[in-house]
Amino acid sequence: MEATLDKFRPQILSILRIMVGLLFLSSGIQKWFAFPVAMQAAANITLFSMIGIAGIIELVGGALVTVGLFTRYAAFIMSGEMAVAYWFYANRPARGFMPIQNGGTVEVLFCFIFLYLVFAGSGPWSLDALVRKKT
Amino acid sequence: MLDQVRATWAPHVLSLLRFMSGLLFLQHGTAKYLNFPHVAAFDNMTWNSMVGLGGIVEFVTGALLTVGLFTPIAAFLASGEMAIGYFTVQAPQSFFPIVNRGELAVLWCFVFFYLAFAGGGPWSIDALLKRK
Repeated sequence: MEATLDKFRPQILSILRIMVGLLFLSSGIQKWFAFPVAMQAAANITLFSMIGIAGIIELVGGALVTVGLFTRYAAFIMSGEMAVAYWFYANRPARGFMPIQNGGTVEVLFCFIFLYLVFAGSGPWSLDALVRKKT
Repeated sequence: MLDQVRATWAPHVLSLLRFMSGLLFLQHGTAKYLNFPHVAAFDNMTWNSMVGLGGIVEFVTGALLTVGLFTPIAAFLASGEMAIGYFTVQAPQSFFPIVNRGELAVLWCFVFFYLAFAGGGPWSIDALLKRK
């Protein structure tokens, strides 16, 4: 059974990457285009604010990770963004030590998934893989 | 050189991801059954409700994933629980995870699904057992 699981592992990595990228992209779209619903904290969004820069990272990084282009570099920036969001912007530790109490579980998960993508890359179903095949 | 560093450390970072996602998952199990940390929404929970049964899965598979024992099986069960959770609780509210608050369930579902294929990595009890 383990051999079968191992065989499909790279493809599943690509599926994980696409899903995480899409979720991340959707927070960027919500901040900048108020879709599918407006975000209250982003009502008066400007480019050079904490939330504006976060939104740009989420738009660009989320799109890159979804299609799997420059995944490692994009994921590194996004992992860092989520760490900053957890520790500083949302200031989770001040709301309780445990993520279930301070509401930061999603940020922690994003942070560690992206950290793994920095090391694991984007898998076979990605533009990175297509580009590599040509060169 | 950077590629070499990544290739060397990728399995260890996989273990780190397994440890963190397992710990966060376990936290939901302990909140439901040990009241630690205390979450008011779980105060009057019974074990045979959807939330209670989910808590059993979270407790057991969360603990297994944290230490990396029987990772593929535990991860598969946890992934399935999150899929059921998403489609019964969140999906009816809206199509978009950002609206129905189901981002966490989706993330967990896919991380655990990947772990079911990838295993626990080198820092795990699975790896210790295999070495013996």
